Amino acid sequence: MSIDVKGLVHVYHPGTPLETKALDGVSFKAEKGSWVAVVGHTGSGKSTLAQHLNGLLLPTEGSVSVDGIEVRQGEGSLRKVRQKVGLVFQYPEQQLFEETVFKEVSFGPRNWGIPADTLKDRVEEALGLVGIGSDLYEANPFRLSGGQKRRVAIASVLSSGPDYLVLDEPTAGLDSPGRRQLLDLLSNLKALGRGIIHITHDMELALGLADMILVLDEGRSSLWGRPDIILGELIERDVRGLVIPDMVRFAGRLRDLGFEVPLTWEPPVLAEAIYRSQGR
Amino acid sequence: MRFLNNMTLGQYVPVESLVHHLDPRCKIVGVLFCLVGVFMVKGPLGFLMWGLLFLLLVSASRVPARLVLSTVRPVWILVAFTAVIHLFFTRGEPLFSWGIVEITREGAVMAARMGLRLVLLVMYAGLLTLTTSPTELADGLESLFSPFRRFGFPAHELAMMMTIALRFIPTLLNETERIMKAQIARGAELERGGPLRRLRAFIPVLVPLFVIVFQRADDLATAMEARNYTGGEGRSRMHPLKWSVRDTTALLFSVIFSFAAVFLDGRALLP
Amino acid sequence: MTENCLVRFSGVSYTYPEAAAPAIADIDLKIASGEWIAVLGCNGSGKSTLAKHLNALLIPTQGDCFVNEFNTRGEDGKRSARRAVSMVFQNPENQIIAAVVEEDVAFGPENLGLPPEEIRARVSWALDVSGLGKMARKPVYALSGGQKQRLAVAGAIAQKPPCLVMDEATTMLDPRGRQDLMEVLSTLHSGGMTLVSITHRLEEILRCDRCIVLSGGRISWNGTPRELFLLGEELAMWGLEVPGMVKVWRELVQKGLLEAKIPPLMGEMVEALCR
Repeated sequence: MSIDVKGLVHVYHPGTPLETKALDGVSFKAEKGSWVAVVGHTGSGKSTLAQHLNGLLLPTEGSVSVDGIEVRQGEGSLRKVRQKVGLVFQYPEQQLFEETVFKEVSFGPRNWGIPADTLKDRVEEALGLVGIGSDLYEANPFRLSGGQKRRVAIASVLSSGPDYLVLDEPTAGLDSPGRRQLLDLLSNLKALGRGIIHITHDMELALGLADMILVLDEGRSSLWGRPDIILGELIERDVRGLVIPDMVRFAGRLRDLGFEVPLTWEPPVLAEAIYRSQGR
Repeated sequence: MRFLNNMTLGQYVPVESLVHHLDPRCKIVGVLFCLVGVFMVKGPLGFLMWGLLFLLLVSASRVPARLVLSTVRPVWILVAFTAVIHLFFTRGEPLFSWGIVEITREGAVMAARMGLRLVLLVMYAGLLTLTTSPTELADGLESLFSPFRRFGFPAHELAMMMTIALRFIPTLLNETERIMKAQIARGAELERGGPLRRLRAFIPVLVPLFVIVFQRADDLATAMEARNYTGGEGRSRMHPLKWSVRDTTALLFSVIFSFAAVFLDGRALLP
Repeated sequence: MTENCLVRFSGVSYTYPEAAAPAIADIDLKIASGEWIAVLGCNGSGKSTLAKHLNALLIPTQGDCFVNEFNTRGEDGKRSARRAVSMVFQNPENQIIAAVVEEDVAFGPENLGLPPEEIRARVSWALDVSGLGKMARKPVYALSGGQKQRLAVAGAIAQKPPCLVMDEATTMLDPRGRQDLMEVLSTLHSGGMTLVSITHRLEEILRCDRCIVLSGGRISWNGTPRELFLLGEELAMWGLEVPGMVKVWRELVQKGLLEAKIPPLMGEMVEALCR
């Protein structure tokens, strides 16, 4: 069970003065129950890629398939895919519109025609996952705090019961407690067997949390692999289109200077290695 | 699915050219004369003259021709519709008939005339916005309307509103597109059913959009206040409007050209 | 000290209309001219409320706020504060008024009623400092998020204020945008401008002279960034997260491998380790 992206090309406004190639031959695979981070700058094509995973955009060339269903026009493919793949846009709290938290979260399931008797369970389950208690079910979503709003918005996607969750920069604008809480939620969802596709510009986050990392640069995939492999690449060479985290650059510099520093992402391990290397 | 992706059409193209450097007041008044002139010509000579002048202006403005042509894109349906209506519903000498459909000579002439007029109208107006930045446009309008200030006409405020509106149109179109997509991702069907159902289906788009617009307005007001904005009093300009001989010449030319086009066109049509 | 004191808060509290509790309370603070100070805290700690007092967008409900020794409560004080302190806000979209880059930068100086030559000189200076010198005639919609935020900075400094406040101005930027913006701030700081960075990201305070931590609307801590980084559980309590690089620095300092006076910056650390 996976999302398979093969040779994906997307051209905006084909045949007009505004024609731009946003994606150029991107391939990767996101398994259910795993965490894939898609890392790149603004304009690298991350958001365009995200919108292909649930058929909001359709490939100009190449293919996207979800659990074997090809994403394309017709035969109800799009509806099936959109139900399987939940998409959380950047600043998702901006899409809230209902009068109560409960109604907001039931918007999705109702659109998918989920019967009334299971609807309530779905909504309560989703709100439970994001840590919103029953005391807030009747609250006005616009009156919640920033972090709460964001979690309600994510619950409103989870309530449709997606197997995969695509999140575009889900921690943007949150402070570190809010960020921690959100990342815990995503780890939890992964443990429950959902596939997480995390679109971010934060390499530090990706290295620490993802099972697989895809680096996008100007619409092309410049790296694809496990975090330790990616870390090695980052230390060894300049990867186009990335701001290398300070710690990685630091480790790289020390290696160049003859320190025996392992490929690690743990600050204490790095510090320990420097200490031992220095002692010799 | 077609989204609102025409955001850059008809927007200011900052290049250096004779047309760009004209005083905005000259351009606004000049275009007004041209528009009236376009509406008053009826025959091929008139349209030919306006067409040639337009080509001349475009080449002088150094704006890429495809961008000028693209200004017509958002309104081509309107143009086609107007032309078709005139084509089929003008009575007169039949040219061609097929069942109940009848095309008359007068209809064909009217269709061509209305179509050309609309296209020229949109392109002339488009050339104004392509070669004049919103700020210049606003400054020009403010200055043109300032004589009415003594009657309480809010010239500066209107001009400022226009600047801000023009500035935020692309942003808000983007915003709308993003919210539409987010709701579609949650299973909303925005493009199905009758008008009433469609209207209801748009509530999940409209409510968030209103919230965003108010938030933006609030932030913008704070930012303007922080940048010492206190209204039109005491403001100066980086590029004060300066009327030069060039502007007088250009304006005189457009006035004379308009009269000439209408006059010559009328004479050519005389039996 | 008093002669170069740019901003002085004396027992400042502010309660929003209809709010039960004050957003900030009993703030005493001095900002010296030429200083780069960071105001830290998590969401809801009151840091943006504090920032808005610096240029009289908010007037204290209790206590007084002085800018250049003028009380912001009076009309003169308000005007003086607006001219002495410029602000850059979180969302670049919402603070850009004109549709062309240089026209937006001119907005502030135009409001001050400066002569056209002076405005043009300031605009070109501000664009150069912000690294947008080549984009003067570009339409705003063609700019990236990072460029838009640098445009907002240009618009703010074109008023030639002695002090610039960055109110969570990096929040919406990607790492490259942040890096570029930090460069601009460093340039301004070395040019003598007083900077106030409001943020919850500790990565951004490495070059600051001093930082204060707000929590629950009160100042909980005051000191240099390096002193702050050496603190333990307090940081978590204030909702501040230490970046990976600083964690390495802290370990090395605690192991006695680095002196605490070496800042947690890559170049300086590598140099010290090689010695």
